[in-house]
Amino acid sequence: MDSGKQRRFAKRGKGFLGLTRADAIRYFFGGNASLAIFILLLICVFLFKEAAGFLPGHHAGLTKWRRSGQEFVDILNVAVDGHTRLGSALNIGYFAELNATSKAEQQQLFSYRAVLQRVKGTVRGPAGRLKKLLKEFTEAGEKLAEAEQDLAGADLDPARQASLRAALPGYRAVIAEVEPRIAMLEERIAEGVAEALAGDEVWEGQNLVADDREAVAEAICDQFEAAEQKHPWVAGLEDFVREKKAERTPQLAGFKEAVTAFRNAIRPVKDLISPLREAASELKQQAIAAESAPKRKAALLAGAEATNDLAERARKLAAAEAVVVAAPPYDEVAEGFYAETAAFEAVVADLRKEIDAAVEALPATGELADPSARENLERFRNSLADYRESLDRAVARAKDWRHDEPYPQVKSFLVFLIGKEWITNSSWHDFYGLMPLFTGSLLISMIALVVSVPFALGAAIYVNQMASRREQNLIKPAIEFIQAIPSVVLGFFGIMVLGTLLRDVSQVSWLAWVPGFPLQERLNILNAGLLLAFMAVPTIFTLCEDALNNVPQAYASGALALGATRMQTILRIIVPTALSGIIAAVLLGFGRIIGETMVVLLVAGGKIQIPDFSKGIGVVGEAAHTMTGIIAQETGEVDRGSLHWRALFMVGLVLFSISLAVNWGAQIILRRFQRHGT
Amino acid sequence: MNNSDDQKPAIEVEDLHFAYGEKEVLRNINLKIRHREVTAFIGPSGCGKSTLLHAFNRLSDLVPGARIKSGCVRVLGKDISEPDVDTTQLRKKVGMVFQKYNPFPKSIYENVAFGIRVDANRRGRSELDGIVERSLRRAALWDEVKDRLDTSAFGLSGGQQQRLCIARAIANGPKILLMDEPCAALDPLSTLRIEQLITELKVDYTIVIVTHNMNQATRVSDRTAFLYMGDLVEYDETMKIFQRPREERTRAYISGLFS
Amino acid sequence: MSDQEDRTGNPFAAPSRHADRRASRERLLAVLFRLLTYAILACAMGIFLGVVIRGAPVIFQAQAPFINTDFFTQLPETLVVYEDAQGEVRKLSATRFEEMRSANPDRQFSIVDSYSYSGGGILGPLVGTALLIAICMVISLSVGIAAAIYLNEYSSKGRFMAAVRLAILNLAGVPSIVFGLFGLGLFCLAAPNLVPVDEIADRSIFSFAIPFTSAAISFEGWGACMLAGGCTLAIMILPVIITAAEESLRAVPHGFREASLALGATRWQTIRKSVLPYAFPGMLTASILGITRVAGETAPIMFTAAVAHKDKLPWIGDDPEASWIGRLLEFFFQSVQALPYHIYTVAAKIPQSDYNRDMQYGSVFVFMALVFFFAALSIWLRARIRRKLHW
Repeated sequence: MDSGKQRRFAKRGKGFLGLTRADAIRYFFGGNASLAIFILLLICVFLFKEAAGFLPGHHAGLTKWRRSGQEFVDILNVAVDGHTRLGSALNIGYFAELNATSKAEQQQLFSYRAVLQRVKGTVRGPAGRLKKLLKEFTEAGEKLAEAEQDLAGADLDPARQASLRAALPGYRAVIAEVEPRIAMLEERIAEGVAEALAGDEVWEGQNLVADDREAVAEAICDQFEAAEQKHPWVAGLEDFVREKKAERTPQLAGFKEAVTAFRNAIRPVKDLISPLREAASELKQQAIAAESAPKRKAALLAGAEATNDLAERARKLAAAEAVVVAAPPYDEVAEGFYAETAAFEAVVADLRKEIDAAVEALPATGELADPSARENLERFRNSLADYRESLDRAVARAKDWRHDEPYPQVKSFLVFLIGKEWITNSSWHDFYGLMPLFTGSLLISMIALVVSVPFALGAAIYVNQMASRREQNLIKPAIEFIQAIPSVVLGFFGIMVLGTLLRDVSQVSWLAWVPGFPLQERLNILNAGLLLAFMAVPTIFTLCEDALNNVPQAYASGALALGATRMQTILRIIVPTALSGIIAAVLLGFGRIIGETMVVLLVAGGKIQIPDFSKGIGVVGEAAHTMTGIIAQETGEVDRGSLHWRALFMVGLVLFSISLAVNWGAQIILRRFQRHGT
Repeated sequence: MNNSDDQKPAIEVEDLHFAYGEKEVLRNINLKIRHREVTAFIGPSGCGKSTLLHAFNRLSDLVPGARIKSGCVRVLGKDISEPDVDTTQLRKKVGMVFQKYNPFPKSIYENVAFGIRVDANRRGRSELDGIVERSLRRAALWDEVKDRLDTSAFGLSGGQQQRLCIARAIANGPKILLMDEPCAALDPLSTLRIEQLITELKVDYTIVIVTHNMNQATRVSDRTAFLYMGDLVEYDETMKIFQRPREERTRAYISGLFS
Repeated sequence: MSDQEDRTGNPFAAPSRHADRRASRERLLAVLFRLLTYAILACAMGIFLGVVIRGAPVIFQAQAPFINTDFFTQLPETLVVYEDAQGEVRKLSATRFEEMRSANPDRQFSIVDSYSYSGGGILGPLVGTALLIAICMVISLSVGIAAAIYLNEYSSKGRFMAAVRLAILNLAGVPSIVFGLFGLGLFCLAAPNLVPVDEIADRSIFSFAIPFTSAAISFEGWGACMLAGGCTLAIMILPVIITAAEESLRAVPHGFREASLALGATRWQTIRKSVLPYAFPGMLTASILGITRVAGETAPIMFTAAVAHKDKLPWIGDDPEASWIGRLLEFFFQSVQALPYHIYTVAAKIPQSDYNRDMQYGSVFVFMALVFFFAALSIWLRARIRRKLHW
């Protein structure tokens, strides 16, 4: 055919850079689509960029910790820490035993004081003003009295007399003005006190029977009316307690002696450690100073160069001269530490002997009257073996310790990844260990999952399989609404309502058997877990419902035609068939929960510590901190580029990896199991 | 099986009017299906033959709005829309095989055992093994699958899967088997196997088969019902229907004037 | 079984007591599922009612105009708690208190306490949130719809497509706080910025002067500002928008495209004339749902845009002499208050007392009302579109 005809079907419009217009449009859209990949890469890049210096910096910090001898001190300190814990158990046990005969009375006194404090808090404003007014009132009264006395006196020069006389009405006016206000305030305070006592808030957490509560309330009212003297009820209780204690003290003298002996046994160890601690601390300061010394020196020299003022220049040059660039005397100080190793071994040996003697002198658990005393003593005895072992380890580690042994890179990474302490802004040493945050995040997420999965799955089954059309049209949008509730609002709800509610419920006496009850804190793992469970419900519900919906109808009719009931069909055919989708839904829900920030920031309690798992399920009553929470809380407050800042980005990187892993896992599960039913 | 049972028809439909919502899809159906015969329902798409079939085991209950407007369906002499009929028991005695084979995503063994497992009466493992084997043998599948009972049912060929579905229905010990175009999704060879199987099974079971394929109806069925637009046009011995149809519409349909 | 059959004449009777027990067990299970479902709704209702009961009295009042206008027309400010001459304890926001004090110089007031951010209204946070959402939606909609068009209209299956889809899926699962860190790293600390040559920041990654001007392009980031926050939110919501837009594109029947292509239209013409107009309502609906998610997020804007205190509205400039370019830059490069961050501040960052409650519940109420309004709007629109469009 002729070329003209061929050209007619050719693409038209060769444009910019040899691209046709259609191509350009195509690439434009394609570019936007590939943005998703690009962003994912960028997230990696920028998280890595900010976190980049963390590992070297962290390693350098740990090296400094070792070289300056702080590590050595921390090793020795294990002996002290363990001893403190044991000693406090012993102490609690002793006092519990001492108070065993007047326990109820002390409880009443304690409640009285606690409630009094709270009531005082509610009327703090008027009380403060009352105090001020009373001061004004007494001052005016005194001055008035003084002036009147002076006037009554004989020889006074007329000028003075006149001025005194002139001042009198002023004082009287102040008194006249202040007096009713005082009365009013007193009345107001009395009202406020009565109101507070009538409400439940001040009684929160106090387990008082009605009679005691009445007595406490009366005593408090009296206390406000006549602050000077004690209410007879209170005084009586105090006397009783004093008497009982006095009665009991001689009986428990042996116990007390043993406790004191135990507690004093640690003194030599402490005495040994404290100079070492100072030396190490100073050495570390020197090391830090030495690190920045060249920079500071250069800056001073540059400053001197720049200034024209001769005196200024001389001053700066002198300052530059004074900067010590030399490395700190690591080896020298370390020699001192090595020298103390033998002394440490010796004091630990003494410590053992004294502890053994003290333990000998302790009363047998069976002799004690008080259950709490028995429990604490039991705990003491149980942990004693661990403590002894830890002493052995400490001695061995102290002997092995070498300040110039390089700190292994891998270990410094592990200290981050599985380190048990996240301590920042410390005057001793900053530890960046992920574990407290990770366990917090994980624990909260687990609670949330355990709570939300039954609800979400149950609701999905109900809506998909059993609900009527109308119910579906009600429930599905309602659950979408739940998804729309902002997390900060849920966090706020957790602070304001759920925390108090949970604590109140946990203090109901017939619920005392529930592990972890009564809750000590308002903001705790359980509270955060429950809120996150609520947040996760829509995600898990929607995905589960999808999964159930994707089960071919043929399975259901097949099962029904075989004489299965509706419920059997659901539980034996539909749910198992949708199981991969359900597992994926749970995984994605988990991803959403563990990445959630505001709720845990507001509600988890913000305590950076690995929760105490020895309580079993009761651990849910503790406060915790999370990976997301720590980022939100600290990123805004630390110096950009500091080790702490980089550590936070590392935490972000860990979160990012977790979310990718969770997503990837969900994808794989879906793909592997979704071959059936086309 | 006693004789009094055999004297009554297996399925008896009396003046049945059936509707989806307001739309009447079956009108005035009267039909008696005899024991141990194969009855074929033929008719163009949408004529109501599947609906009628699903009314026999009340699987039509699943469709929202589906209801019997008047008349009744008696299976084994019992009006199945009465409240004392337990649908699970009904469906155990009236087994069903679907157009598209639909084994569950479980092992071959579990597929066959499903009906027994959901039964209220528990049975022992050995008894269950026996039932599974008997059912698979009855469905002419045992020799092909006996070595891989624990593998997924999806590993079988289409024809095998359909026979598995038949075995699954047999395991329940039904009296009647309903087959809704059981060969529609199968190749000719597998179809042949199924048709053979049907002929073998009619010794013990009353079979009702819906089919599009008129040759199939002549091959397997003893009696044939021709439905058209919700009406039962003609119901008679298969030979008579295909050779001497009484109605003009039947004649037109079987000679392929419309389908 | 058969003996039962003989006895009752009913071959399909429920067989045994076993079955009865099973039936009641199943009924119990059904009730359980139902209870679980309604328990979820009850929790939602509880939260909702809690907020309404405590929040509505702050917003509404008995006298005309029935709405607490101060709450919507003032910036957050300090709440002053004072005692007047009669000894009554009252509270007023700081400016109102000053006004009153200067109006009544002879009356005596003693200030009892003051609480930051607990007085005034929430105009600043409302405006800030609206601006953040606007920026976010402009960016994410344009990019998201373009990406969806590519994915649905141009692409063929292949490795690139698989990678893009995988990336979108993974992006959807990234925690919001990580987006916050990312936004901080990219937009606040590394994005290119136009600055005077002599004011290039130390942290600048890379910079070069623009010839013939005194300005330079410096990759030093924008600091915490509205634009950075909007971009961060846009990236966060992108997967949602892409997925939703794609869904609406997919809902347009293939016949429309084939007919158009068969009539000789180019691919782009086809998309523009025969696909987009039909897909657009769906996209818009989905984007409203996106708004509700974005509006609720706090974590991504914590370090990238939001501040607790700001004493002026964003469009009031510092420098009245500035050129319009300067003003525009100043507008976008300033930090803003935002409603979720404001709630975080008053709920957790200031000392708590009964005097905070009004501000807390008022803000939460307004916030919930807004979010629910948009959520309801999108759900309603979606239902309408589904009903209307039957191809």
